Amino acid sequence: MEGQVAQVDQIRMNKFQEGLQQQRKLVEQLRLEAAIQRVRVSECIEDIMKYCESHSEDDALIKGFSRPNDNPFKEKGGCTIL
Amino acid sequence: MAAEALRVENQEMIDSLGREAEELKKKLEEEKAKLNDVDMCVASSRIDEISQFNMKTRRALKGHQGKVLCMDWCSDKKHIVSSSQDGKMLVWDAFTTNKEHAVTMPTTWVMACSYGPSGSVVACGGLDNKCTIYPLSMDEDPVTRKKAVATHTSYLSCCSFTCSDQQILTGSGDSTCALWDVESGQLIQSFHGHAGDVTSIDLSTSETGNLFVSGGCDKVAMVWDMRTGECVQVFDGHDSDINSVKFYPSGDAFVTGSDDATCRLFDLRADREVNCYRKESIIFGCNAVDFSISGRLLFGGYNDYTVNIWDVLKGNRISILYAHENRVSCLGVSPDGTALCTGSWDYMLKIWA
Repeated sequence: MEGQVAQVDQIRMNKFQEGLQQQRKLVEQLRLEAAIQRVRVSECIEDIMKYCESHSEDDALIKGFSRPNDNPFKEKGGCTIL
Repeated sequence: MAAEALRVENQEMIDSLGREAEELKKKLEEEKAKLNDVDMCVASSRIDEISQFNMKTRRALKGHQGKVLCMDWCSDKKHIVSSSQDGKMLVWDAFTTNKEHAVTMPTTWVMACSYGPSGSVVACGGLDNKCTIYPLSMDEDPVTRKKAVATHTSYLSCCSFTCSDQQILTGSGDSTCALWDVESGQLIQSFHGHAGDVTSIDLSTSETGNLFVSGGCDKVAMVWDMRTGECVQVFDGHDSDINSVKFYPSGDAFVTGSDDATCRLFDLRADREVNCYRKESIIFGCNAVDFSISGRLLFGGYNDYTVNIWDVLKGNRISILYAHENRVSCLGVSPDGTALCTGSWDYMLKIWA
């Protein structure tokens, strides 16, 4: 009987320890996040727009190919108008 | 009695940590809101609309006898690896549509496959909880040289080589990610933090980053430092499972696709969501996401058999591909940005350009 009580106590203790551990981890994570230096959204968006614009000429899925034959997935053969 | 005293003390500690957590959360929210000074769709109004948009099916890759679950492009921009529910992994020549290698796995539902950066090795796994590496050569069956590298305690959902064939990062239904040494099969680093299955990972494109992002069934995306194993940022906002994550080509942001039928763009430096891609008429979940090479187009593969193409800057949908006859489960833009490959539960893969 006494052994059982001790066992139940032990399980309860372990649960508390586990809870404490989890809570500690959460707080540590939040402290880490709170320390992050953030940049204004406007600035970040500006950089994303710049990236798009500076790479737009290379984007074959938007611009296509200057010569259709450059497209490696173009169907081969077919008619050619002379 | 001693136990009782300890319990009270513990409870007080838990409570005090709980209070600190709440305060920190509030502070974080305020901080993030303060920096949210502009709407991306408004800020991009000076940029021209995308016109003359025209993508067509160029190839159909037929050969799987089950749902296609995953695909990856080879760095040669020509080969594709795909894996399927029937336990097969196939390596395709996407130009000719020939199958160059076929590997039968000892499991069904091969949910993850990936090409090594050299193009001479592929990795895959699924319900076997393992990630197996297959060196590819023309004279030998890849199976003879296969190597089991990673083992998780639940299914393998995703895998990706780092910048070398020697290291592979895996994500699993056991809610962890892990980095492995291919040669020795040893665990280098494990990543604990998700409160649900990890569904997708993507490595940062920036060379100095050493970062990767993971998405999971706990609705959050986490950014990790590969060297320390630490989670450096957590991003929430989705109302349901995140199925896919992908870094923006600049490495400053990433996009997520979710069962809540939205895709969201999160910026690392702003530490928050900066755009959301949604439409009232789109009610089915998104399984896979990728960007065009300039980062202007976002491709989303959905459960309603379509691929929606979004303008990343303006936030509007610019086109729909009626891509498949069943769910679109995976997709990827080729490394040089010339084509999109989609895979589906209709057993097929298609190339669009």
